[in-house]
Amino acid sequence: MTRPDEQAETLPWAGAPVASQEQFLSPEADHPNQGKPAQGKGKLFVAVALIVAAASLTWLVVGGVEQNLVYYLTPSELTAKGDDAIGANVRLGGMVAKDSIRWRPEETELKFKVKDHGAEIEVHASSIPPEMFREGIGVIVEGSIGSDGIFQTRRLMVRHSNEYKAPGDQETVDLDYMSQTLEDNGT
Amino acid sequence: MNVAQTPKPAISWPALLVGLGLTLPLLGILLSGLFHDPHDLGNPLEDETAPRFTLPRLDGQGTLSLEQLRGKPTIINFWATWCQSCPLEHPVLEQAAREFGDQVQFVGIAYEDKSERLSAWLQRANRGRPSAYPTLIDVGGKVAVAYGVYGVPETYFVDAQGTVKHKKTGPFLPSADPTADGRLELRRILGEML
Amino acid sequence: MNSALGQGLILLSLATATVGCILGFAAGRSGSAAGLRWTRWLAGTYATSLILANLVMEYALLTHDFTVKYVDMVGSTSSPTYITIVSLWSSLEGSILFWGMILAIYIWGFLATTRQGHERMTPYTLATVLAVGTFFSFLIAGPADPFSAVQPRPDSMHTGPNPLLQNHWLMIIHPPALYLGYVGMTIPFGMGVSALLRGELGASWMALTRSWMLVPFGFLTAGVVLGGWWAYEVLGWGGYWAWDPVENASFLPWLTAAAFLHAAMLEERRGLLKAWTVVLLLVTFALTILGTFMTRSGVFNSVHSFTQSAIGPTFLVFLAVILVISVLLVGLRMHLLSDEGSLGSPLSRDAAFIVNNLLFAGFTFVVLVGTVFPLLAEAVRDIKLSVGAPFFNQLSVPIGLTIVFLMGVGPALPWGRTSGKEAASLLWVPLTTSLILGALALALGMRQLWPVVTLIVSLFAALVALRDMVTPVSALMRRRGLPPLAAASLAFRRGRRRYGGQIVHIGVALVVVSIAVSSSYQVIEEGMVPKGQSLTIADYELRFEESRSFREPHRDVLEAQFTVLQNGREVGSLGPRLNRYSGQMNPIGTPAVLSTARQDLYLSLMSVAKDGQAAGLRAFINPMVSWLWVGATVMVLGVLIAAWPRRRQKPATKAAA
Repeated sequence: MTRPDEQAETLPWAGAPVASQEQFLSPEADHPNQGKPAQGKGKLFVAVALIVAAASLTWLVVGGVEQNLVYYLTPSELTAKGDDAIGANVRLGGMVAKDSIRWRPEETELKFKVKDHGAEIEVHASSIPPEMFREGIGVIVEGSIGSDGIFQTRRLMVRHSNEYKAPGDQETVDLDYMSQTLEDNGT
Repeated sequence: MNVAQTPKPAISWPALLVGLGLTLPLLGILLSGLFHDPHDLGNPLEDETAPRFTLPRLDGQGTLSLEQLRGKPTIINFWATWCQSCPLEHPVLEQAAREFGDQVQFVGIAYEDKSERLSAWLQRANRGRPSAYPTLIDVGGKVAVAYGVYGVPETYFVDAQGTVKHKKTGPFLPSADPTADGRLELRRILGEML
Repeated sequence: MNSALGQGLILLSLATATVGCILGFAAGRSGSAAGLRWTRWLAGTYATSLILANLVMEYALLTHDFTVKYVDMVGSTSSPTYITIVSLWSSLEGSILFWGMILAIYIWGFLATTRQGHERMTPYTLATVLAVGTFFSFLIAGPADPFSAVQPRPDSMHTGPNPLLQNHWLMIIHPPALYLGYVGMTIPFGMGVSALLRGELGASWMALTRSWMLVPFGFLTAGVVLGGWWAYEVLGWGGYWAWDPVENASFLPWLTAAAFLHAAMLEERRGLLKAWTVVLLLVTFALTILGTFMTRSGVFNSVHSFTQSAIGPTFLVFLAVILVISVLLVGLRMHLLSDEGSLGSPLSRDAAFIVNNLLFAGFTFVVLVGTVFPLLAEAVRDIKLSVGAPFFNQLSVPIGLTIVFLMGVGPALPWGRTSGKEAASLLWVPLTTSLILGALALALGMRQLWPVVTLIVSLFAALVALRDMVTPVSALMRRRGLPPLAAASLAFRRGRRRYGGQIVHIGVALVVVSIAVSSSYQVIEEGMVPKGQSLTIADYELRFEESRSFREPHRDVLEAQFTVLQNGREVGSLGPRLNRYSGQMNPIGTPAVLSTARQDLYLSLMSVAKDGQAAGLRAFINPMVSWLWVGATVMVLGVLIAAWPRRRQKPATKAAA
């Protein structure tokens, strides 16, 4: 691969990869490992800089986390919080209340109530109801409650899947039943 | 290179303290995580009166209501034939029902299902033997909604006075590992209730 | 038969790993040549037995030997052959066995590269690697045993691996890439432990460690991006990265590995940050174990975690052992790795590298805190919450952009020290060019602050990288009078690491720009579309033609056909789907994507009306997403170039020189 005439030329980056441009351009440049000692002062400076950096980052991280928490709450818990909950990011988990769904496809406007055994909350969404959405189904809506007591949601998830399966154990596919539910539950 | 074999028994305390300061809390947090199930969204019914129900029995022998079962702790298992882990959980419940049958009452509630398919499923799962506990049919899923069932299987433990004491999300699965064995877990919960 | 053979091989691997580990530490202490020879032999046997065990499992899978527990779990006579082959890593037990095979391949490679030399360092390295190997062999032999003999379940229960994993071909290559990245970090970890135990860090050892880090780093890069790509193609929410715990778990060791690759250069060139460089090796490995714990323990709520298993506690114990030993090693041995050089001026490549390392460390800290915070809140305050993506974005955007900016500054400046004038002369051309191009983008209608800043910073870094690649070529042409192609080829051969590194930088610039543009200029429209009518998004019209449902082996499919018109001209048709898998209530959407160099048109089907007369559609326009995959490919290519082994120079030619 390497011819003798190339070997004879001693470019400093041959063998020591990633060289700086200067060394490339002027082969006689100083060996880089010759920084002038500025030890004592430099070390203190570095230590102080590190502590300041770590402290400010920690402050930023803690502050940032506090502002961006999303709480998982049930309707009762959200109601119990009263005014404190206004504007906070919440994932509200509950059931879609009976006879509460109002869906206007023309405006893509969906209104329904999410309830648990103790409380009921009006939820407004500007999204299409997902395939499985219907009365009595478990949902999680992400958003926040306004001072008018209406929960505006950006994200609506149906939570009714059988997700507690052990790895690898599938029952035989029950196609009749599944295709039937696919038909039955169209909104 | 100069091998720094100088006998300087130095301990870098800052490194040690920063290292432990970062790793020990992390380990503590992860350890605590093992005791919580992120998929468990809590049970709003705990220590509340269990919702009443009166449902037809799968075997056609009339209906069964929660009131009829008062006086005995009741274990209500929501399941379905289309559920993947129910076939594995079923023998665990059957065995427990045979063993504790005189002290507690097991009830299966079939969710979103049809009676023909349920009978056939049970026939197969029990290998022709009669079931150790009755299965009820939840028409329209109203009882499941009242209990706040998120998925199947889910099991509710109701005490003799009709108060929900405990809820298990997901199946009781047999396992060779004692910490993960659903049979032992079920036994433990039953023990607490009796 | 297969079961007994597999279990025998696993026991053999457990025995060789344990003995090799003890012997390796003893040989490291005594410096015995025979001890080293035996350790190498045991390591080789360990690797061979694990590879054979994997072959036995593959054989059992392919011959549908359902008396083997794992085959009984994931096997199916109806699965296509390639699914049967890859089902080795479709479930926990198999993936840990597969993990063992990858470790075995890395051990073989390491044994090959250390056949001569490094006699002082290899015993401790092999001992450490085999200690890790002991743990995994223990898992395979006990808690996650795939080989035990079982009574086969009735054949109707053999339905193949988790159907979700069969949903997309990316799911077939994503896990191996990630494992190759994760497991590969074991070798540099062992090398770092060895450096601490020996209290020395020679130049050639450092060079070898860096090579052994580059290989898994390349795979990890691919694995992280493939994970995002899979989410984009399968999950249907229109994005590729959600700061999900499992995504973060793969990103954390990537950050520290990247930090290491830069710190190692500073160590090599300037003799600085020796201890820090080694610490990064240990941290990277610990983060891969943490990542495995996160994915496998079921402690974190993630869209990616398919399994919950009982090996969480075992992994946590292992992680604790790794972390505590690492901290003690560093605390007790760090002083032996004292720096030889001193820091250059604040205007130098040294300074840029140091700040870059601090930023990588800060980035790691941010992601780690955001990921484990929900656990902390639950433990301390007993409330359930999650940390929203805005938290990660708020902090990662400035940190990431500063890193990209330094990616331009660092390579432009010389090591050691520079005068302000020299620095200015080196920086002003790329800086002004990128500013001018940024102004142009502003004039062309890019109005948001962050994308414009990102564009300027990335252009700057890419320009420096390009210049850094062109300069040696033009210098060779000038000084040696070579024609351009010959000069380029010579420069490339001689400075392969430089070229590899700069190609990675160009890839990073592409990735960063496409992330900024695709997340800032996404357009979303949704609505119920009656049959024959259209949903309009930007200059596209999406006409709903019909819906149809059909059956595939593992799922029921509901598909809606849309004709795509752009400015009134038909450009194609898309069929987003809802799939319902066996035993699952919730259908899972498969989006349909029309990719162009400029943008992706991405359709997610939400629902279909009962009579099939209307479809609920959510449509996204994601600009520049294809460039993300291109940029990532460029990055992996660059890593490959940098990691490609150098041809050994023959002693004869050396003597001639």
